[in-house]
Amino acid sequence: MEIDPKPDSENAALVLVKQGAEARVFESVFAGKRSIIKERFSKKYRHPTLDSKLTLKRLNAEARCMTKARRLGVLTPVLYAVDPVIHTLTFEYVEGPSVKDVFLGIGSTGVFQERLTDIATQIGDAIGKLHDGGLVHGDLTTSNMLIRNGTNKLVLIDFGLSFTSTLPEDKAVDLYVLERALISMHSSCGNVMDLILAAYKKSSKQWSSTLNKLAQVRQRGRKRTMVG
Amino acid sequence: MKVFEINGNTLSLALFADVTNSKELLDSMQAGTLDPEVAFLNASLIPDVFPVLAAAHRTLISKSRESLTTRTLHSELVYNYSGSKHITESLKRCGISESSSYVLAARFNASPDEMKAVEKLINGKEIDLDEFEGRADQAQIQKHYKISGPELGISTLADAITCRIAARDAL
Amino acid sequence: MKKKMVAIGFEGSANKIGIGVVTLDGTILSNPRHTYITPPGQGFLPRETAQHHLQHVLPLVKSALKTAEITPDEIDCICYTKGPGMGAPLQVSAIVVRVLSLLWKKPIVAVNHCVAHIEMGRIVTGANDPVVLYVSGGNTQVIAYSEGRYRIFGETIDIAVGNCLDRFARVLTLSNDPSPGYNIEQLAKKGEKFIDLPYVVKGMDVSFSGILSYIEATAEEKLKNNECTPADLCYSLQETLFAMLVEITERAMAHCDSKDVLIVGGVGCNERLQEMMRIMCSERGGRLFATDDRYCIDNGAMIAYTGLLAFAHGYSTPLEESTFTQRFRTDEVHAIWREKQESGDLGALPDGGI
Repeated sequence: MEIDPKPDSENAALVLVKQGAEARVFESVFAGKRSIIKERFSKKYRHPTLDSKLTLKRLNAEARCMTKARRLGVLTPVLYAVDPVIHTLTFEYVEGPSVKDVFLGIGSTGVFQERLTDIATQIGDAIGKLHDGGLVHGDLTTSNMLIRNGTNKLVLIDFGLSFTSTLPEDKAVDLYVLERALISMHSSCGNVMDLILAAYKKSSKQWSSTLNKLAQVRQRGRKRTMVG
Repeated sequence: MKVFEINGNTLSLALFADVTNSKELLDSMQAGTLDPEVAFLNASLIPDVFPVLAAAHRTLISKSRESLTTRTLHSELVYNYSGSKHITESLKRCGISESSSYVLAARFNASPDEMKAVEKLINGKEIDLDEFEGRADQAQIQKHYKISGPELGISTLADAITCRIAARDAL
Repeated sequence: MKKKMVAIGFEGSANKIGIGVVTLDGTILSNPRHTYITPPGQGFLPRETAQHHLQHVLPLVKSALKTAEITPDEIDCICYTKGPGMGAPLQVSAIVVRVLSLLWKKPIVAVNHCVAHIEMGRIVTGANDPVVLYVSGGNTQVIAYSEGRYRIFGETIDIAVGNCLDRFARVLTLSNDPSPGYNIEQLAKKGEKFIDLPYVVKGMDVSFSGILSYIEATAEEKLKNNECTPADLCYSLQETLFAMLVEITERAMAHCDSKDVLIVGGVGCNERLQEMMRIMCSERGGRLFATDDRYCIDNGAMIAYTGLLAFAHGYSTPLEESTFTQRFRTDEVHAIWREKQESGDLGALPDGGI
């Protein structure tokens, strides 16, 4: 009888990787594979009823939407386990930097335009697939996108605010959130959003209604009267 | 035979081809006279051991909270492997039928003697777990787990199954 | 020895007309204001509000100078709110300032209302580089300074949080004195039951219009069936809206790796919002900076102080450009005083106002 060499019980201690606003992220081992455990914790500033509603809703939304994204052909980490009692998700450990770090490195390390174009194209393509499948990510920022080492493939993470919708409005706001994140964080990267939208147009069959709506959403932002 | 450790428990797996007594196994399972208690899975639906371990993980958590959905720990493993909420259908599809000839036997926290007894229950040829990939029935898997073309473009069958096992109750 | 620089500032972008006199170190010499209060169930309209401002502006100038114990001669510049805000009320300050500029022979400085809230908050609290939550009747923005500008990280994609509260106050016909938001806050303290309301956060943006329509549509029915009290509704509305605001503020903090928060704008006076934000900050090892109603609510001193900052760095607005605009985004302003403070570089002079 042989014993599997990688037991993952007592000796696989949890290592805290990141303390986020809503969740703690640990590195661990799941059935022999390197994994991430994301534990949502309660926020003390929130009313307890609202807090438990949001925590559970987002835990389930994340599990549901990250697996749905894969069904649509968009890479997300493989989901290993969901525990609604202790509010944890366990999923594949993806090795590679965030798109945020890659983009921020542009000034200092001189990332080539080619790399930028490749990443932007993958982003637009992925969002187009999600949207055509009726999935809205809800929190598209460059921190929520990873580039897998070796393959250089884009992997989307953090589906806690995701939901299903076929409305152009919801898809447009999804893109608008990304556009604003790019402007506030990566203004030195130039026309990334244009590259993303170009790829989006190729990827999404419904691009025209979404992009028309996006123009309206942008206007709303700028032209709101904003009475002091 | 191989033993895996999951959350401080063990799962022993033995894979058999050319099984001839499935009807007998099914009968004693339904009569509750299997000794020792063991799970029989339809191995054609298993392209890799990992989804089985993910299902075992779920099963052990439910057991520790005394919240099993099915009657026994081992039927729960079969149910969990299906990734579906439909119990009867899951046990039928992911368990064995009278005509099954390719079977995975699984038992939690088995002693070496118990596993020897399990091996004796089955009339067939024990083969290595490495055979999973080559012997899996891709068409049957795609149908049962509803795995589309776009998903297969980015995912292995095993990963697709694992996701469904994990996300079942979030759907 | 040269005396301290002094500015007078005019604020009239919404239902308050306020005039303040300040020095460059942030000392407020005077800051009188008058609020146009409408009957319960009614909001303020541009024309009537402008009339109110016209009625009160000159007595306020006199009182501001008198309390500050200065004469027009001693003033270095005259500052006013260029926007954003309601057109007709904005026009009152713009015109009065033009006249006074010619009369007193003093330069004009046009100021962005939102930036003024931020600068006033910074000098009053001593917060150096916080993430700013700006919440008022017309604005809901999460802002942080980066590369010469106050960048908007998150904001409402429809109505402002103060507008949402004000409009719900109208549904309950609460008094507008001193403000509808204040009366909601007081009533909310008596609320016990939490009513489930929509909760809409999209990335770092929020949406309130769906919550308002939901609560407007269900309030009457719920009250009639004795399912809850008006206090419960105010309580639940505040808990939901403020949780959304704290959440997006925390997201922005995580995004720009910042620990401190400054709350400005009229809704920033709300003690429950401050309490929730303080809990979030302390969990992150940061601090909350908040001001009381003297500074949170629109006032002339914040305009004077911000205008004076820009003036001290060489900026003024030519008479022919001293216009007003209803739309004036926070990130349009080039915050030259912060650039020089941080790098010592001479930035390009901003166009169209500070």
